[in-house]
Amino acid sequence: MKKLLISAGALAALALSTPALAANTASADATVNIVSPLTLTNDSGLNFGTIVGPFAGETVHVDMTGLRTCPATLTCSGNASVSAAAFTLTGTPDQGVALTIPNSVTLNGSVSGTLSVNLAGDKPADPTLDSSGNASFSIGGVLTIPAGTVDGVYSNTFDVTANYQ
Amino acid sequence: MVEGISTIPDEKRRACGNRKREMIRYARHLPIVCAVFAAAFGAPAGAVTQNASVNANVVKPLTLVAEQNLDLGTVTLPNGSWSGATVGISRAGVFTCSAKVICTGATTAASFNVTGTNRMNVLVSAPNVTLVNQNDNTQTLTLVVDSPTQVALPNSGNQGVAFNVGGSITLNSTTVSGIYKGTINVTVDYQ
Repeated sequence: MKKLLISAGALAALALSTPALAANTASADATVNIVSPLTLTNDSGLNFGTIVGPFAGETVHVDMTGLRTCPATLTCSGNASVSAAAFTLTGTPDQGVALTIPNSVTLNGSVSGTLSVNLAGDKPADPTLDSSGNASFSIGGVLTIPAGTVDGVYSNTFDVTANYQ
Repeated sequence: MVEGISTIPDEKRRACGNRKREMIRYARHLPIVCAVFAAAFGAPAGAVTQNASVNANVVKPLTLVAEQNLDLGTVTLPNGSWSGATVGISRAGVFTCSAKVICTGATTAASFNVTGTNRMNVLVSAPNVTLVNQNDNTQTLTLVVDSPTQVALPNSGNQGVAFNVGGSITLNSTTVSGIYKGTINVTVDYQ
């Protein structure tokens, strides 16, 4: 007899403890941002044009718009070839992109010697791709020419890396 | 655990390089902290990289020297009424005398030498010249110059490259006699 009563009581307890909305379930959001791969294209190099000596440590600046500033003590020509380093990005619309750009690059002379270009002051802010998934940016630099620089074509390359933020 | 013997699996020990036994004794109780800084040497997956070129053409200043004057010799104007008699010398040194006049004497084109940096293109600017009658400065003739628009430097420094500038004048029967002189001003600039 006792057994039966206990069993019935237990069953009753079970029936009472099952609510209409289960307390043992909950929801959380799950998200993943699917983006198409970024493409980065270099459209032009950073070109300072022709700079005529003699030199005494002057600096020549090409800004992000490709405008060259020649100091009063130097002559600069070859204006048609002056340019900032221009890049275009494509990817998923409205995504932010983080850029990695070095602070300087050392140019090697075609005859001998090196020249230093500082990029730190002419870097763009991190771009955001527009509603079509496009963005563009440019990088300028400051070239320093010390006294005694051997004439020649000074050149090198630098890497730019782009990542979705 | 047994004193002096490591319980860390062999693979993990090898991945972190050589360690002394004493170090391993203490490390038994701790996870091996062995960071391999792969990320620092390469961009994370999903990044794109491109490179850009940087160029600067650094050149020595140009020097320009005049080496020879232009001389059209002596021109005799016949009597009568006529016009449009052209007398000139090309930059190649070819002298031409109009049939309306008589030309005598030695003739030369002007010659210049420019130095600068090898392989650079140099723009040459030589405007026309006003020749003034030395006896009467109200009387002038225009020397229309024949000059190259650019020359290429084949070397750096002292040697440079020479180029000529010719010129021609147009006479008529009313041209006043006298020695007409002027200055050919040539400017050179890197392209």
